Amino acid sequence: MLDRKNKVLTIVSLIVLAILMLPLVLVVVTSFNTQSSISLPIEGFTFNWYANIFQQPDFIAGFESSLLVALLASGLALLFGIPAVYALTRLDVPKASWFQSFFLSPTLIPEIVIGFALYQTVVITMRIPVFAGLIIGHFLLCLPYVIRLITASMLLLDRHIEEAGWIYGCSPKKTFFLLVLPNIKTSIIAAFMMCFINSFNNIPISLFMNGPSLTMLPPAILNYLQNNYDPTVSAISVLLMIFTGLMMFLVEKAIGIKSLTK
Amino acid sequence: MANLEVKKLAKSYDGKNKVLQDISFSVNNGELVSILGPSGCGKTTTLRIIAGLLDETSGQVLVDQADVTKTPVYKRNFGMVFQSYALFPHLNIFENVAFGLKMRGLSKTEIKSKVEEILEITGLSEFAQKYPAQLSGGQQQRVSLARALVINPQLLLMDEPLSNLDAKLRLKMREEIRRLQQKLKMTVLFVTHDQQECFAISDRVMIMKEGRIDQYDTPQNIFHHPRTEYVARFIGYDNFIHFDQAQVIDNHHVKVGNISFESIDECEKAKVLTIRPENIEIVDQNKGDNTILGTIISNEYLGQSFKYRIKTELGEFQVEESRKKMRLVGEQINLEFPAKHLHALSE
Repeated sequence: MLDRKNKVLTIVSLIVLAILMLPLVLVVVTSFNTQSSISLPIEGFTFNWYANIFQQPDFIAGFESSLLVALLASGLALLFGIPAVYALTRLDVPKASWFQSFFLSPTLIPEIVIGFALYQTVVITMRIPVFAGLIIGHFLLCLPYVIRLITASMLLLDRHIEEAGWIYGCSPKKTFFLLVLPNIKTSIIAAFMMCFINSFNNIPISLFMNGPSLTMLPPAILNYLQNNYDPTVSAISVLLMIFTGLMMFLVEKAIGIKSLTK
Repeated sequence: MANLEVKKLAKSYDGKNKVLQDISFSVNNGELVSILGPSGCGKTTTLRIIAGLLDETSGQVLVDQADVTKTPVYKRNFGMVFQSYALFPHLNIFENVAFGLKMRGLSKTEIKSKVEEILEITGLSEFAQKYPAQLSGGQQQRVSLARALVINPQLLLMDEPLSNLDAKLRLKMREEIRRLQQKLKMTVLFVTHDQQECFAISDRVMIMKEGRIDQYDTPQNIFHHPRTEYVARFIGYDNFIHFDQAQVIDNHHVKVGNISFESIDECEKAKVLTIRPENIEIVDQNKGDNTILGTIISNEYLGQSFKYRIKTELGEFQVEESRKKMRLVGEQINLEFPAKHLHALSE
């Protein structure tokens, strides 16, 4: 009985996986097509479209600025998010649940609305430079991930552990670095990953906050696609998949090795 | 180790409800004192204020006559064992135990020899390189104890340290705690809600009720001379006869209903008579004084003895009797309260 259930489950899982993976496989296949439009079946094999990526200044600049914005926004989100979570879970903050909801609220509002609102206030009214505006927008995008993931692991961490630290002669500040951070490290790395990938791949906010001097990679790809329907887009998609996959692999390996030594 | 003195400690969170009031007591050098009481009586609050984890509203905590009330927790030289063990999950057992010494800036060689010595004493040497998650509850609690002992604290505070362990291990651990305490001549303050546990290992016991100390004495004195009905109930005196001053005949005699009772205690300022279930005797003849007629309304087998609930004109009584055969529900019997076991309580 259990075996049959397992078999059914396996088949359903495989079908779902196939549906999810098939478009990605097609993208990979089309990126090597010699034809100058994205189509199937492919007629010949070439690396030209990959070479073409590096001929597009928008892609190169976009990659650089997307990487920079993603790193900075994720870092900022951690910098603000971790102390906020610590305060909400450990100190007697009045109306803590309100703050919690407030920090998570960006997930409830459509990103396109956030993008537009930021454009209105940050760019039009406050005249804040485009780059700073982008950072602010992506920071907002990232903060909920930090709050949610780290809150979960802070709640799981026995608060007596910190008290034991104080008892044995560690000041509260030192205790945070010596005893709290190492025990929530895994969720900090996970939060950083989520932030980075979401920021790096984000379109709605980047689209609004893009300026003439600054291009982000996803809008650049979208822009390219509107003018040229050629497999360069497939090729850059493949590279992005490899890039994101590699990041996940490295982080996984970093956490994995550390947790093995425990 | 040092002696502890607590003076007029009080705690209130909102300025109105007093969680603790007028807590004054002292613990002598090398003494193990338990704070006993049901949850919410303020025993953990008292311990946490002494530890420095919680601020007092008023009062003082003195260790060896030095006022530590305003000393921050990380500058007090105390050890503490938590109910949840509170070991550091990312450090191995050696590093856990070494933590306090490291914070005190000892050299590596000093730390190594001290930690190894204490691991030896607590029987943990073989686990030095393991992580807390790899140990059983009992082993973890022993690590927690080792971590406290290694810093040679002035005072060892234990907050329900045995409550997460199973019954058998609990017995073993409490013996071990007592053994170490006496060997190392430690001053220990031990919080528990388990009466047997604290009577077994304590030099003195403090029973708390609603934020106050109800009785503070040796286990023997508390057991034989509970001060109040609350304490008596807590330690297994299940039978109470209430009376007022008009019913007092003389200092050792009280007449309730038609029955006169003789007590070894002084009755003139008392309000309640009490006796343990095993001290009531079931007798064949009603001799009048200290004896009451009743009907069995329930019976229960306890292994060594039988326990009966008996209905009488003065209310229900609980009686334990060792006998081969169980008495039946509905049987009429005479209960005798021997004067030497009948205690008079003032509250």
